[in-house]
Amino acid sequence: MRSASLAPVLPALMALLAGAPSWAGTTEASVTVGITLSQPGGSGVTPVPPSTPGQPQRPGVCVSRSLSEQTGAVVQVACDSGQFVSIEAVPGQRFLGVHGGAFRYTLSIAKDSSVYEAAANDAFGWRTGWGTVTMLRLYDLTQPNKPGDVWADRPLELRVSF
Amino acid sequence: MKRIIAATAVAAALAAGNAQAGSTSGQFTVNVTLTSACTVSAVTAVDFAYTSLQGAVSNATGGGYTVSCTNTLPYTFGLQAGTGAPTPPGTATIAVTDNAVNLSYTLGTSAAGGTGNGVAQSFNVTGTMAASQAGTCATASCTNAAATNKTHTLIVNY
Repeated sequence: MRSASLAPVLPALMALLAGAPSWAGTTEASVTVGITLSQPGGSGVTPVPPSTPGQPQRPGVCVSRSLSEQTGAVVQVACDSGQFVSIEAVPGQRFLGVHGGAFRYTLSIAKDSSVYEAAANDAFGWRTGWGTVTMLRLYDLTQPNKPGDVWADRPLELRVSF
Repeated sequence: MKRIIAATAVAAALAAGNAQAGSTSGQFTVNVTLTSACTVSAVTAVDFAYTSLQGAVSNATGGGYTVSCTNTLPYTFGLQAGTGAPTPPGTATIAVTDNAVNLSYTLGTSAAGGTGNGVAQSFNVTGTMAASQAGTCATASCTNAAATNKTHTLIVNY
């Protein structure tokens, strides 16, 4: 009678025994990771060379230079004054398309604009396509959501440092 | 004189003779139960020095530790991200993104395990950080001192 009542759970017990760890014990220790992150060149400001070595940058012209060919790399926009802006993704988020090459863009255009009528429409009322970054507009990140704003008008999440 | 010396020697020999009339013997067994064990020393800090967007992989320094185990006892190493309760056996490597400087790294061990020999055996926690990471740092240099996920767990399974 007893063996009959154990029969249904016997396979489970066997499986538990078979899956039991083979080690007799364990011991542990903590591992602490220390990281020192430095900026290239050893300072917080990285000078960006002119686009054509040996030729001075034209007055009033800002040049965007990629610091790496990797996705998510930092892009710098440097002007002849020496000032520059570094742009990178918010930590933990992807930052595709603003890295020198082709990217897919999405624009939101006011519906009363003639541009809107001239442009091809898509299912969401946005203009999307493929292009190359030639200008990057930075929005006020603290701008509140106003009535009439649409999703694509919301500020891009960018981190900018001078 | 010679006779006196001889008589004294005979008396001494009789006095030193065995006093008991007989002997018997028995055997007994000594039982020993040895519980195998390992101890691990504190692990020195695993240190990365990384330049934002650097073109080469960064290898960590430090991470040394020693393990002392019972002779012939095999053991393996496992790693576990964070400081939660250990869940043996752990994994051979762990991948972590530091939440202070936003750099990703992978930790492993210099050996999968070993066999105890009764004395301390030396190993390392190894670390690699991929190239071309930007990281997050608003000044010339930053550390991950404020990170809340910088401590992990080394598990010795035996």
